[in-house]
Amino acid sequence: MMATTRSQIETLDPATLTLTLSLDVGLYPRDVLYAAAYVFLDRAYVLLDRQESRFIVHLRAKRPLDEPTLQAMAGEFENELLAQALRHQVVDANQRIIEDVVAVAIAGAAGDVEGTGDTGLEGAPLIDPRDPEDGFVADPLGIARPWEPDKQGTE
Amino acid sequence: MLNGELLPRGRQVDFTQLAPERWKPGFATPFNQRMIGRKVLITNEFGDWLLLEPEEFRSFIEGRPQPGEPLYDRLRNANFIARAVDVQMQAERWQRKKHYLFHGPTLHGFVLTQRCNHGCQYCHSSVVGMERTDTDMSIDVAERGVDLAFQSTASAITIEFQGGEPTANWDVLRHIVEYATRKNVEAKKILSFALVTNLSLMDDERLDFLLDHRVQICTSLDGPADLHNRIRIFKNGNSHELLVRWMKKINDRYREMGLDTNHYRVEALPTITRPSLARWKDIVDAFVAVGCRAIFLRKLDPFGFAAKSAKTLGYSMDEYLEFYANAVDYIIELNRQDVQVMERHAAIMLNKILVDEEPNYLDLRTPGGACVGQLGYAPDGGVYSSDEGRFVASMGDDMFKIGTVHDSYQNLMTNAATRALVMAGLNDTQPDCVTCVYKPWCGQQVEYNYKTQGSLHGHMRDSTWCKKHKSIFDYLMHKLESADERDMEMFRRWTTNRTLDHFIVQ
Repeated sequence: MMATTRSQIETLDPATLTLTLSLDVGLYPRDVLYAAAYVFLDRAYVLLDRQESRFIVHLRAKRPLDEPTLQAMAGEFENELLAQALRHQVVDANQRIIEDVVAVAIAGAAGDVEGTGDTGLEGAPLIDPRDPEDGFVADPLGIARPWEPDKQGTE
Repeated sequence: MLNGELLPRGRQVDFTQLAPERWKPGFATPFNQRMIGRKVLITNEFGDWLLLEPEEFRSFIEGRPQPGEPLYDRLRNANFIARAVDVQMQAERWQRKKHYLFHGPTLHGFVLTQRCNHGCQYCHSSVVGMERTDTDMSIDVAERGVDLAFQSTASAITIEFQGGEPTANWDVLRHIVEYATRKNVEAKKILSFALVTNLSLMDDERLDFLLDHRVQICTSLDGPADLHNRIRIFKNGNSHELLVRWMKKINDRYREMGLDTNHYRVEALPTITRPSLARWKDIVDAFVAVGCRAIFLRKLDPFGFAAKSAKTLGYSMDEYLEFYANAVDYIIELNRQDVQVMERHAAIMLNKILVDEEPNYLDLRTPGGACVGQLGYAPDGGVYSSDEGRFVASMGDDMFKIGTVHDSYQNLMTNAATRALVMAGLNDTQPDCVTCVYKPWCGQQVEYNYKTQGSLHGHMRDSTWCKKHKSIFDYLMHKLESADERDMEMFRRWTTNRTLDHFIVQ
């Protein structure tokens, strides 16, 4: 059923360098759409939208392109959706293996507390919110302070 | 014909020919892919890689390989089959390769002065005239800087002298070497010194001191005399002639000391400018002629004077990459004629790809080297995330100043600015990097992102940093894809790391 996985060209206009695609929202998770769109940011201005059961992708090329090249860009977008979809599925299925490896490695480096197998890290917060010396709480650069006047009293 | 040949580029795999309903995502460990020639390169988070035929790739993503089949064995041995991954073994491997996460900065760059007697057109160190002794680092700042460097939790530290021309502030250089050496009697770190110098203020007495105290010497050579002297302007004489004479003298002294001159040589670095682009062969030949075994073909960076002179000396990334391919193709040809010389970017990357080593090259690791891999100490006592952070400061922007030599080490390593720089330097937080086939071997520089794209995170999709490194990885992968046994032997030779024990201070 390959046809149902394909994106569909809704409009293509070499004069305005624009291309509009639509795709079934049931076929691709939103993360996959975002990831595929990101790949085109160097070549096009991208606007994502939704109309009922379809995602709408508006692309406007940053440089002059002819019609065949715009057509090819549509094909590349479809290809990128599939590549990102596969990666999304594999990560969903097996990312925990990578996380397990990193957790075991970091625990090993931190050391075993008196040979008990307890690394002493479990449950310990990376940042201690009760510690006034901890930079995230102290916020010396005022990063957490709202910049919008109407929110400045809410911190 | 090499000249004009374009760099071979990788490309996206054509997924429209692969049937999604047949995919078996549970079969594979997370991987990324890219076409290299007519093969599909796959890599995983552990740094394993395979070049598969398109039909093998299709079989892989459809989960068809069975135990006992050659493809299954290749995939299993390279940790691409989820159920076959040995977590404990991979954890030990991850820990070995990510060793730099478990200690503080190893490289400590001391800018001893901003004075210099050269007027190099691209210099990014914001140099001043030789009369400006007010830009020298003082003994007090130097000692406090050394004290900080020794507080690093790294067991090995390198103190690198930079400038301006650091030998212009000779007394402080000498004091730092002696002070740090005394300090190390108790600290017992693996201590080394490196000096980046144009050699123009060298004399026999200074050389004796540097050799006696095991200070490694590194200099700048931009190619043959006409090219070097055109860019590296020296009013007091012929820069190239002076440089080559001292390089020979120092190499001769190493030989007299009984050191193996295959490994112990003056290191020289070129900076590639617009006039260099057509001279790739001359530059390689010039390095071979003075006995260099390694050439680091560095692109002009966007900092300081280099940024100001971009119109006359600058060039596009595409022009640089073509230069790079021409030069390295020529280096490979020389190796086939038994001339042993290598290119450093290639050697660093091949180390990661072929030998599964992490050389801790600060520009190609994650998180990047800012703050936790290196610190830069300015003459006024300012402490910066790196050399590059200091270069940005010399352009009037203190974005990368994380404190001063009067701060505590703990404060420098844990303050909000340091945390922000480290977090921005993670590949795992970059949308493009997480899906890049070269992710396990690549890295980024937050200072470069900031200077070229206006934010610490940058935007890898149209970053020249990304383009440069992805293109060189592509180039090398195409070479590996087509390499015969003799070429593979050469590439493996480039990855051989020899510890230069002589330069470790006892």
